Amino acid sequence: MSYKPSRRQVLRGAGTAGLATLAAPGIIRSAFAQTNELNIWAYDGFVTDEFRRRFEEETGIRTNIRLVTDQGEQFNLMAAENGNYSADIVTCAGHRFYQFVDAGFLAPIDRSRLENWNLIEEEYADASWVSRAGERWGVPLVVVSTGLLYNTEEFEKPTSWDVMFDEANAGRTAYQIQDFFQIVMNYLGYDGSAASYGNNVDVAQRAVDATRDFLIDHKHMVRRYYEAATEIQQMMVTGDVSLAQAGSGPSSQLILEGFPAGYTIPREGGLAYAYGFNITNNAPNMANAYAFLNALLGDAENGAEIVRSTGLSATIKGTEALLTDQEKEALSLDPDERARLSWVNVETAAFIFDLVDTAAEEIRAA
Amino acid sequence: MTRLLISLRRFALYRGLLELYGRSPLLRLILVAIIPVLWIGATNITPLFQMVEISFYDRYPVPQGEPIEWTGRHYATFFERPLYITAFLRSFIFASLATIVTLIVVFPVAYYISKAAPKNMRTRLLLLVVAPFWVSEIIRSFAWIVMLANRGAVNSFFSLIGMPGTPFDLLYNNVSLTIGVVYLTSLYMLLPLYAALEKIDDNLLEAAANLGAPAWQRFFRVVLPLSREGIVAGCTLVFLLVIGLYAMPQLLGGPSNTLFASTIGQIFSKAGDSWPLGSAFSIILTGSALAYVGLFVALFQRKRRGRAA
Repeated sequence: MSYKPSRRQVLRGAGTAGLATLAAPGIIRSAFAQTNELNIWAYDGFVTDEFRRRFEEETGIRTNIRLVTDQGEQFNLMAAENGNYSADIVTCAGHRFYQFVDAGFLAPIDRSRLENWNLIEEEYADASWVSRAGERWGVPLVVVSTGLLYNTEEFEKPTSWDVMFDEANAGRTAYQIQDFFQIVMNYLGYDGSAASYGNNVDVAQRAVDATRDFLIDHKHMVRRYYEAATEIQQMMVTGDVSLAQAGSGPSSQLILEGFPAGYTIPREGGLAYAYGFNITNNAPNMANAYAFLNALLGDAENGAEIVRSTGLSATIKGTEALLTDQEKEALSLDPDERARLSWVNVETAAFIFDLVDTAAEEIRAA
Repeated sequence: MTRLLISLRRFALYRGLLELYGRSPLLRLILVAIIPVLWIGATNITPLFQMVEISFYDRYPVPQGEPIEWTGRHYATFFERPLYITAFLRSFIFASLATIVTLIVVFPVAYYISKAAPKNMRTRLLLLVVAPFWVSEIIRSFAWIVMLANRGAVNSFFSLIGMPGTPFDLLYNNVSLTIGVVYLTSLYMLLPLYAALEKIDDNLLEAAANLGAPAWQRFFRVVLPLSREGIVAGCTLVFLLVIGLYAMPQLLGGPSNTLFASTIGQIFSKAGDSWPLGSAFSIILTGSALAYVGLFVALFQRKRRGRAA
């Protein structure tokens, strides 16, 4: 005698199987929560292979690194994950972290769980760009400046941003619009930080509009608007550009590799900000995240390795003593140039970046 | 395989499905069609509906505990800012021109392979043309960067033969973008054209020649009308591909070649509540591109019906 299921039984069985399949990700995720894994979204070179290997051997925690290239990419990935973040640690820029905080993506740092916090250089540990709403939101890792990168075979050390807008250099320049925008505001005599505008949106909007129109007027001179740091290195090497607004990281890497390049902060100024590691809200492997941050801050050698892999200055105490003279020279700026750097104003960042981001879209579209 | 099917019969669920399958043709149709329909619904239609929904949100992500506010202001933004319309129109003009250039470049290749080449060589020639498409779009774009850069292969060759004015600016402008796009889309033009041209009876061409029609007349009076279906299909595919291109214009285009898809990409990649604006722009682009292509196809079909009448 053979059993023949009714149509209803078959449909019920298929429905149950479907529901089980749909529920599987949730079941699997719960089963793997608080495992010996740690999921990190980081820029290339921020977690070096050497440190990763040491950390995994010492703790038994397996690190899964997802490389990211900008703040918007991480923000949108987190927005899409809608509270169930697949990352335990993300990398936020000092001038953009407020967006992550305000969106509820991050957990404040519990200093009592970070015994190595005192191994961060003081000027960075207590900087304003890790604080918001009375809490600390990240561990500062590297410091970036934004200045002028130039080919030393074609240019003497420029002293002004004028060279970027000189018709003689048309077709030889490149920049990242958002990063360059505030510098150009300062260059044109406006306040790039918007600190002096208070909350007067109309005045700030007029300054942003004038800067936008200036950049559109000079659009024919730009060879390319670039996005990732590696792109500007590639364009310099292939000879497509000789002048660029660039970060200190890719610039010093080019110099260290022997390319005829120089990096300076012109007299109208440049910007400085930091990147840090931030723990996500309700991170599934919170304890592992703190173990990772403590291990990272615990040895100056980790800082030196980050410097070598990114070309950026590390915030970990004692790092500089481990660098070679050549590395120190490539990373260093003279006192005058350092004085021309202005730190991104966290209080006005939300206000001004909203205007700048829209202007940047319009410049690209124009 | 037979053993697997026999062993599957031990499972009640499988036997039940088989029994249901045999009961009625309608049920058979549903069972066969359900997986592809679900697949298309889940992968093609659902994201589109979600994008339409988000385009009417006031902000996204919606903060926890706050209600969703609905608005049409993101669609209005497109019409309020002429700079966005500039990029939008630029995309349509560029996509139309790129489609025409691709057709002009690929048609002789398709004709040669389908009509002129020896029959035993046709498959090999097709494979030869298709081979570069086994490599990803990004890698092929980088290959063009290496070729066209100021210190790239092309400029090095010009410099070697002593051409004055080198290096030429071949990269990050309309030249590099058009070369890259034609290269990228040629396969999508080639295959429909090849299929249409191959179907043309060689006797028709011989008869036209015997009746004294010169080559150009045979082309315009026989080949072109009979390959119209392939041209329409190829142009539709290429246009829709180019209008939505993102990666290649980012890599090969310059500041003056920003296409609307890149503008949308920039909006989406911005940190903040930019998804509703990006979604609205995406819907505008998708709707306009489909309308444009629909008009193009309708014009050709009307012409064919008119001639048939």
